[in-house]
Amino acid sequence: MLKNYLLLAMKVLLRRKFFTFISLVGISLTLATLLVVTAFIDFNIHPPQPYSKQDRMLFVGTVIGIGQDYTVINEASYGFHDKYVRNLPGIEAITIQTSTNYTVYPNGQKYQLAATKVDGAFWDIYDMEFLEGAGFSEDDNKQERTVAVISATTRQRYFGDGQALNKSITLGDKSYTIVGVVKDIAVSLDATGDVWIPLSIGLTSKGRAAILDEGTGGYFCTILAKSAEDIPLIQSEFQSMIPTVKFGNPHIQRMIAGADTKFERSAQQLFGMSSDDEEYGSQNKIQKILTIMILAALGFMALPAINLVNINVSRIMERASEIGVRKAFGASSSTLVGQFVTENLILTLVGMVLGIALAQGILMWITASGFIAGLVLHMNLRVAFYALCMAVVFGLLSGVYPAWKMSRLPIVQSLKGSINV
Amino acid sequence: MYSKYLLGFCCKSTKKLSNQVARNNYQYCINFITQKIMTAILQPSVIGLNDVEKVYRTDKLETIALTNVSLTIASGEFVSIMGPSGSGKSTLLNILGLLDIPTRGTVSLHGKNIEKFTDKDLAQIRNQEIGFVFQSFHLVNDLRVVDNVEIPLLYRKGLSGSERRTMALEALEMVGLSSRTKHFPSQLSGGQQQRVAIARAIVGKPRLLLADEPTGNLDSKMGDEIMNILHALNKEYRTTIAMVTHDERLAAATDRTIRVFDGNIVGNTFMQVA
Repeated sequence: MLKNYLLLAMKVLLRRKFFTFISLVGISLTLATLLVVTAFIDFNIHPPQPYSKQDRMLFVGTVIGIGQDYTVINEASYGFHDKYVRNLPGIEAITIQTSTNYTVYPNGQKYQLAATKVDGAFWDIYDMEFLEGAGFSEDDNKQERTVAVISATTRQRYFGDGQALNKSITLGDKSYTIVGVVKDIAVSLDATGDVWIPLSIGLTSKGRAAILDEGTGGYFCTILAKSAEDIPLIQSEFQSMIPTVKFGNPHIQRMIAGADTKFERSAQQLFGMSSDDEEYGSQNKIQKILTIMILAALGFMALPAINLVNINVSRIMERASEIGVRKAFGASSSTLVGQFVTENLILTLVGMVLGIALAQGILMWITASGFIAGLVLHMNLRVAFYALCMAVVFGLLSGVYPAWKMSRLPIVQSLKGSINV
Repeated sequence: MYSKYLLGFCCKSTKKLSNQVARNNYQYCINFITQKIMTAILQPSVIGLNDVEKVYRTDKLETIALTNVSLTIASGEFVSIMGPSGSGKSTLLNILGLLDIPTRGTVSLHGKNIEKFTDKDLAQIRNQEIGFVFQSFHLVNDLRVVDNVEIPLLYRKGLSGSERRTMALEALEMVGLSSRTKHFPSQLSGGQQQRVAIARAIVGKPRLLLADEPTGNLDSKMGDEIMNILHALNKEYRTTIAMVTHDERLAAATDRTIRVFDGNIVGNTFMQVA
C-alpha cells in the first residue's frame, strides 16, 4: 500500500508542477532558515574541539544579587569561584577566566585584541588545537609571568605567515612572550579570544577576596567534573552552597546563580535572563528553554504551513473523484487521512532534502565569509535529525487538516465532482 | 422452473398496473406484495429497502429524491433500474450501494439492518460485498490499469502485494484486458476503460454489483461488449447486479426492470423466462 501511496504522491506532485514548485520553495526556504539557526545553536551547544570534554563541563557565568530596591546582575567575582565553587564535591578542576580588550597596532594597523585572562587549568580543561607551542602552566600564572598564547588570526596580523613562538607582543604596558598559537575559536564561545594571558596579572588581593562586591565581577568559571555522572551532584551541591555565601555587599540579601551545562549556558546567552528569574538554576529552566525554542520554530513554520494547507485544500477539487472511488471501494476516513498525510509528508521530505542542501550552502558561505572568526558551521547528523523532525512536524501541521477535510467528503458528491470545500 | 412460471405471472400483473402511474397508493401496495412474494419464492435477498425516503436539504431548498421506496433484490438477480433524469434512480442505486444513507426507512443487507453501522463498518461492507461501475468510469488517471484494479484490495486485510497483483490480473483477464495491464487509463478507449472499471468492481469478488449507466458514455458496440461481460458475470458467477440504464433494449435483457418516477417506484417488471 505504501508503494501505491508513494507512486501516487509523486504523480500528484508532478501533475501540478507550479503548485508543487511553490510548495517546495516555501518548505525548503522555511526549513533552510530554521536549519541555519539550528546549526548555529548546535555549534554553541555542541561546539567543536576545545569543548571535547563538554559532557563533564559546567559553567558558572552570570549571578544575580538581590536586595531591597537593589539588584546586581554580573558575572561573579573571582573570590566567589575560588572560595565557593572550587571546593564543591565531584569536581576535578575549575578554571577561572576574565576578559579585557587592548588596542594594538601591529604593522601599523589598528586592531582591538580580545584578551582572555586564564589560569593554568584552562589549558587542561579546554582541548585547544595548538598550531605552535603549548599553553602556559599554573606556575606561570601564579608567578605572573608575561607569557601569552595567541590565535591564528592574531599571528597572521603580527607575523604574517611566519612563526610566532618565542616572539613577543605588547599589550598595554607589558610585553608578552608567545608560548603557543591555537586555531581560532568562535567569538560566540566562552573560551574565545585573540590572545590568552595569565589571570593573575593585575589581579589585586581585594579582587581575589571579593564576593559580589561592586565592581569586582566579570569572572567566568568552567568546572570539569570527575565524570559526567557527577554533573547532577555538582549542580545540586552548587544550589545548596548558594544560601551559605557571605556577601561583601551589605545591600544584597540573597543570590541567584547556577552551574549550567553547555546547553543551558548557550540558551541563556541566546534568550537572556531576567533578574526576577526565580527558576534560575532549577530543572524547570531546561523545559522552559526547550519550550521557547520549539514554540519559536513552530511559529516560524506556521505561515508557510498555512500556505501549504491552502494549496492542499485547493487540490481537493481535482482529486474529488479519486476520493469518491476509494471510499466507494472500502477506504475508511481514517485510511484516507493516512494516505493524504503520507503524501504530504513525502512533499515535505523532498522539501527537507532541498532545505538541507540550501542550508549547507548558506552555512558554507557564512563560514567562508569569516564574518564570525572561528565559526565553522556545517550540517551534521544531529542537525540533519532536527531537519527530519522539523519536516515531519511541518508535514503534519500542513497535512492533517486538508486530509481530514478530504476524508470527510460525502462519497456521492465526490464522485459527481460537486464538492464544496 | 415452477418459480419462473410464477414469476412470469406476477410480472404480467405488475406490468399492467404499472401503466397506471396515477394510482400511486395502489401501486405501492402491489409493489409491496410483489416484493414479499418474490422474497419468499426466490433466493434469499441480498439487499432490501423498506419504506425508504431520501431528502436533500439546503438552506433554501428541500428536494425529495425518493419517497416510500420498498425494494428487495434477491441473490443472483440482474435488475435494471429505469426512469427519466432526476427521477431518483441514481439516488436509489447509491442507497443500495451504501454510498448514501436514507433520510427515513431502513436498508438491510443479507437481512441485517445497517442503520447502526459505523462509517468504518459500511466501508468494510462495501469493500467485501459490493462492486461499483460508474458511467464515467472514475479511474484514477495517475495509476496504471493494474494499479487501478487493485484499489479495492488495498483496503482488504490479510492480502499480500503479490496476492493483490494476481487477483487484479485475473480480473483483467476476465474482462479481456490482459494485454493492457501496464497502460494508463488515458491510453485506452472508452470501452476498454469501462472494462477496467468492471475489473476493479469484480476484483474483490463482490456478491452485489451496482452499475450506474455503465454504457452511457459508450457507443452501441462497446455498450454491447460491456453488457455481455455483465451478463456473463451474472450467469457464470451468480453475481447479483443492479444497473441503472436509459436503454430499454438493455433493460429488456435483465431479469427485472424497476421503474422510478418522481422518487417513487412505479413499475416492477419481471421478464418472462422462456
